[in-house]
Amino acid sequence: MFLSAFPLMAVTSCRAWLDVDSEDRILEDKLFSSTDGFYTALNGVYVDLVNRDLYSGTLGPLTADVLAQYWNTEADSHLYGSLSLLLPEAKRTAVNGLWTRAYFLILNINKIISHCDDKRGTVLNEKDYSIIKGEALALRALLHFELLRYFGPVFSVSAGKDAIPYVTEPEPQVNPILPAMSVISKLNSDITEAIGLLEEYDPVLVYGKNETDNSGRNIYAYRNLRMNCFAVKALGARVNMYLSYLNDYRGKALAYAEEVIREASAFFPFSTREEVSGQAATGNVNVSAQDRILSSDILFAVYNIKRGADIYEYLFSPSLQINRLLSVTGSGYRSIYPEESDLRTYQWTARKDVAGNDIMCFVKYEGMEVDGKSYPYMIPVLRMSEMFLIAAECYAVEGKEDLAYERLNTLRNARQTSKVTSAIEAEIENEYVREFVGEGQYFWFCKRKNYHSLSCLYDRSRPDRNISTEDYVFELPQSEGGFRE
Amino acid sequence: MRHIVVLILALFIAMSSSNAQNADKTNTGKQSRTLIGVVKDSQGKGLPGAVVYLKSTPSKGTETDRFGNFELKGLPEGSLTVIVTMLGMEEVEILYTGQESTVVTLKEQAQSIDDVVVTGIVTRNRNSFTGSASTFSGQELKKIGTTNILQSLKTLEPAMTIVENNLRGADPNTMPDLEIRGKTSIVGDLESDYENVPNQPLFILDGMEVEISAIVNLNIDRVKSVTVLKDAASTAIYGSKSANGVIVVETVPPEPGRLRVSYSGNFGVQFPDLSDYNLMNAEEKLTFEKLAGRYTSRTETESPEQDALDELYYSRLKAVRSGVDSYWLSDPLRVVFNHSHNLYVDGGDNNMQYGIGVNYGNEKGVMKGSDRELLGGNIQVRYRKNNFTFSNNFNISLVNSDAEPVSFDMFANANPYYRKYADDGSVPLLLEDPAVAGTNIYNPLALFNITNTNHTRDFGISDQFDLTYRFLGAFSIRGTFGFMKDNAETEAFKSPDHPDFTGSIAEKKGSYSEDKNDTFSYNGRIVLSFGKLFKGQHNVSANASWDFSEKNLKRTGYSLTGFVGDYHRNPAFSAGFDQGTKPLYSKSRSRSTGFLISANYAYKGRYMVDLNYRLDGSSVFGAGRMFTGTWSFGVAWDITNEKWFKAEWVNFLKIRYSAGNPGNQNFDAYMSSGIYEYNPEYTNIFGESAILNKAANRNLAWQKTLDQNIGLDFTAWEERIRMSFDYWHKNTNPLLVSISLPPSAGQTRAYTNLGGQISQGFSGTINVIAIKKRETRLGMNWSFRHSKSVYTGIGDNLEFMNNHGSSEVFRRYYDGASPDDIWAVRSLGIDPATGKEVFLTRNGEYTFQYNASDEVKVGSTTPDLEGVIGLSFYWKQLSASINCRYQLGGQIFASALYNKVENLSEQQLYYNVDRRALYDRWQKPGDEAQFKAIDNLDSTPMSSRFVLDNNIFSFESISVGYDTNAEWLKKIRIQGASIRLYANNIWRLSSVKEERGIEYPFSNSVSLSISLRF
Repeated sequence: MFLSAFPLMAVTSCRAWLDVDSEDRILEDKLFSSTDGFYTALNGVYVDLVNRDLYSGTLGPLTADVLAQYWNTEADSHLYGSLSLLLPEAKRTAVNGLWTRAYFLILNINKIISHCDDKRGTVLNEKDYSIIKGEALALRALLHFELLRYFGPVFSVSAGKDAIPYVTEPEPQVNPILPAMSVISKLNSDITEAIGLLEEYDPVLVYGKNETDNSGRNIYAYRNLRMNCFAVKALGARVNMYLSYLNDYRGKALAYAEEVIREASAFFPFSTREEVSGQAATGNVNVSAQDRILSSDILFAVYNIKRGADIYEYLFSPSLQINRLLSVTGSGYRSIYPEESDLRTYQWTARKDVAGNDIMCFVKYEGMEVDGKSYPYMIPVLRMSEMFLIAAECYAVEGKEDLAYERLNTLRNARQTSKVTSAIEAEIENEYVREFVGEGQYFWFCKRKNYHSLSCLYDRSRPDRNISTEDYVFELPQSEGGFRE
Repeated sequence: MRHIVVLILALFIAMSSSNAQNADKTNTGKQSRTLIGVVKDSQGKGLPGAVVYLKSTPSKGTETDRFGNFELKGLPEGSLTVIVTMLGMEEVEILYTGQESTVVTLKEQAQSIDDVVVTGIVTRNRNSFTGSASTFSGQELKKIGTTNILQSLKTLEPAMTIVENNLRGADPNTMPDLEIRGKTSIVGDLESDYENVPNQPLFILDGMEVEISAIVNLNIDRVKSVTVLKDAASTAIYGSKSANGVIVVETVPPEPGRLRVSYSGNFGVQFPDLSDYNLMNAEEKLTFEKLAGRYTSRTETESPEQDALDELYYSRLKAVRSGVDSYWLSDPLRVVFNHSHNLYVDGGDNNMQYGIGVNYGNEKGVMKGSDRELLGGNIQVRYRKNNFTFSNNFNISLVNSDAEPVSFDMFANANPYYRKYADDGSVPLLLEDPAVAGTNIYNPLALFNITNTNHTRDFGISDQFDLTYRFLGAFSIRGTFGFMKDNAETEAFKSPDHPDFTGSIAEKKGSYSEDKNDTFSYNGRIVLSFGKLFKGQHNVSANASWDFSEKNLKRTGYSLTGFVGDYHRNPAFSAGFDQGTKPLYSKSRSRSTGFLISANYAYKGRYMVDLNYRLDGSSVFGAGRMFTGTWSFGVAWDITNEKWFKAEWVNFLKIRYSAGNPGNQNFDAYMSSGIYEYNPEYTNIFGESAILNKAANRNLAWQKTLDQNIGLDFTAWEERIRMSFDYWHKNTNPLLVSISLPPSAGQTRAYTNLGGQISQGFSGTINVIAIKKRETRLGMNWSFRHSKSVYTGIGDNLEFMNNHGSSEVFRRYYDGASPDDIWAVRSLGIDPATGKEVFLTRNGEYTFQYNASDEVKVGSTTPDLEGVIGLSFYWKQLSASINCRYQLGGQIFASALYNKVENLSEQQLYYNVDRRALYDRWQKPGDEAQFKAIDNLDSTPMSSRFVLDNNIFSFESISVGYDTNAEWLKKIRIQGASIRLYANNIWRLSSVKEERGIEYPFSNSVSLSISLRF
């Protein structure tokens, strides 16, 4: 009896001694044993979204916009030259990292979701459960949709084609590749579930974005930096609009867009000239305090404290070698922004590159510091303006021209440009081009419409780029394909 | 913790006192003759607990009281032999003829190394040990070589191998990769998240767990013995850390007596071994390039491009004709003189002994610039008083090491048609004008002269304190406490002139980095031992121990860029931190503790049973279960001690069996919990953020291994024949499999349980003394080993891994497959008509088309038999030995052949290649060639053509020695001297002619050692 008692005693007294903490790591079970830990894990996903394979690059200012022919890559052996020519090898390497990183984050999200369900009522109260799980579901949908746009087919041509795996399992395992339409229905069900959870407790419904730093973890503040209820609805509008050739989906998209416009306009008003010029932040017009991203109507943005170095210094700074600099010509710029009053012109400056050529330099993401403001670090992902464009497009297709012009002109007015009264479809497209530079949206507009030529936005005098339906579809990375024979 | 110790103590005392009472009762009987006596130790102190019994009737016996007195009653008539014995003391027989009293003095047992098994925790009598362990003395090791203990051990111990490092060759600063009884059964690639080298055994130096470097750095003259614990029964005392075997090293303790000084010095010459290199000379290389199409334009025959190529060819041809034929290989190499010295002073009386030693070693590498220098000191003190023994060991060491500036393959790659030196004797940086060559071809000799240093200074101290207390005769308690502190500092500097920085701005030219590793660890152990012979026939010993250890690691480092020249290497002269980099800083702490209970029982020296149970607790980060149990048991039967055994010519015959469950259970535990990592790079306004570092498989079952060993020890004809044989069988089920996953799984590698693995093998040694005369002795030794592993119960679950990238990897997973099999498509050689390779399909058809699905098993990397065969000879004071390693029946994928004869891309034509690329490749129809067409630059799939039989025979060690204590030496106050001459790895015969030592060449050595005792 003694013999069995002795190790038992010893084991219990040594257990405490053996429990050694690590500074930089934490065990999964320990992490998810407190509400704080859940927010730490969730924040891990938000922080990682700034990865250059995600919103600081591929999903943000880089790949999709190069494909959309925004940038001049004509310099000899330009780093992104073959990508803008849609060469297969360049396409493959451009999205390798995206695939791996996005699915890695999806696994992280699935872990959070599965722990949410396990700890509901024990660790998590209803409010935190709803917010955490709602945001996690929304992020899962967001990332899957980004992948679907790259690797999925052009829906109006072949909606039944295999696209991507839709991963909902919290363990790493091989997941089947689903047909594009099945991915859409999974997206919609995640979005619906997320909205259901967030509509109950999301503080954004009462306090709006609430950009006040309360020196804690700001768990319920800065809702524009989290997948809040409105952002999820906006995502719903974007996802369903991607299938706008089908009436059902277009109807859903319109409903979501109108819902966001109706419910969120008060909380997410369009930026004023004072804000954009820096006057609102500093009291006088101040170049180094310009809100160039027009942050006010952003429903969801990722927050990158090294935005200047990661994006501007890496892609757009005129001190870059000309074979890696992304810029547009003066004439290209003027054809994008025919009106000088346009607030979005704050995103551009005339400069010379290292070879002495005149260029229009894209300064939207230049690094700056403005006390108490988060816009110097934001990379927009979803914004209000898109809702107006989606609504306008839906109305136009449905033949409700008045409503279409009304929605479009509301946005144009907000951006301080003149009213339009004709060529609604072309004007909507032009607005897409102007609104989303560096946000990677316009290329998907073209993919949705299955355009077969893309105009050279950096210089309209250059011939249009031909693009086939197949060109819009990205091959699965080789590391993935090896398992899919 | 204190409670536990008291508890164990109480338990043991209770056990022993009840036994003593029983013994008393049996002795009260009829009154007749009585012998009264006292048992004393050499200092005259009474010894309690000594057993006194009659040889004829062992059940008639008693033991001494606490003053050493005994009374043996009821003795029968006649003269009797009485045996007095005690654990740790030499047995004494006295003749009883009726005297009333006697005084018996017991001497402390001077056990020879052959009689004991040093487990590092306790010292066991070899005869009653049931596990598989072998022990070698320092002298035996020194007969093989003087490089380091492990190099000598691999020749003596067949179960241990040093995996040949084909990359780093004979680099003195690369630690050897050791395996005892093959590899751990983990399927798939291991990630580096496992802290230790997965197959490395556990090293114990004087009872303390140490790193392999401490063993490598230990001067061979300080070694008293090395014990290799191989099977579950012998390693179980170290629990889960010991899954790969244990190597226990003991250093020479100070001896009592007058002050003695001993010196030993080793002096060696080491020279590079380039015999495996088979590179082209200038003429051959140029011819090869011409034939391979290096100078043929791919566009048109008449074009400016072709003109340029012609010009290049003829300019090179002109150089070759004018006599340029550079031999690059020898340039970075040197013949080095290495020496090491060990000076040791010891002495003292019976109560107190002390020893002080210093040692120095200088091991230069055969590549210029690679050096290793060791300096060490040690102080040992031992004190004995009554039942206490106290000892303290203090060690200090300093190791300075430098790495070579340029990898050896730069020289192996350099073309022989380039001049090393310019006409003015200078060494140009570029071998050819980039405008002509099309790319920058650097002169390796010039790179060699550009400063690129990497210097490590490793300073360590350690101290170990040991206290033993014997009480009640049969008990002893031993406490050990030790600490170790080590600071390793690495400074690396790369000159701003280095081509790595060509084209960089001034702020980025040159680099300096400093890395510091601070280790502090302590450990302690308390062992309570009980050992007693009951009634002369039941030998019982038991141990209970508790140990603990803590290891703290701190790593800091930073790197700087921007230097103006080589002269100012001081960090203060740099332009600053490399942009965007942060200083390196990491800290970790690990703790472990363990409880061990082991018991041994032997009946009349015939039947032995060992039982061990150990509970291991460890703070391995992420371990789901903190404590794991390891058990083992062993039985042995010493047939020679049986009464009915009459074969006089057999000196010793023992059969052993043991079983246990060793395992890297910590490793398993680590796999079963998920780990998140905090993000130090990016922050936001939402506080801490953590991201998955490793997802867990919660359903993962622990890998369980059942390790069984059957062994036989046999000695006959007055030890003229000694044999030892072991067969082992390891069944691991379920297996832990590391499978690769597609990126969409979120993680590209995951661990899962699948099937099992059965590994079995045998090893043995046979020593025969063929001539045994008074002054002459001729011995032969042969050791052998074979092992084989197969997968079981995998089914087709890993089929996707078999398909994935099948033309690049050899390993396949299915039932009956072995992890060591080589898989490839069978090749019939090169078609003489076309110069293309002909493959054999699975159905036995001929084809030019390579298809991965035609692959079959074409060989195995495990040899059928390997080991060492040797001869030793003594004549008077002269001794000689020769040991050769043999390896038969295995195959190897000849990667150098694959990469340097075929598979040469256009890029590789710029480098020198194997001569067979010129002579043995197909050139024109009708050629019976071994390798495909000379101008074919396509990549070759891996086929059986590159799988070669790998039979090796090498002279691992040859040595001749002479010992003397001649009169003339005494005149110069030398008590004894020995001198020994060695040749190590002097000659190697292999069926595969292939380059070895890619970044660093192999070497041969001849050395001399001198030992003097003053």
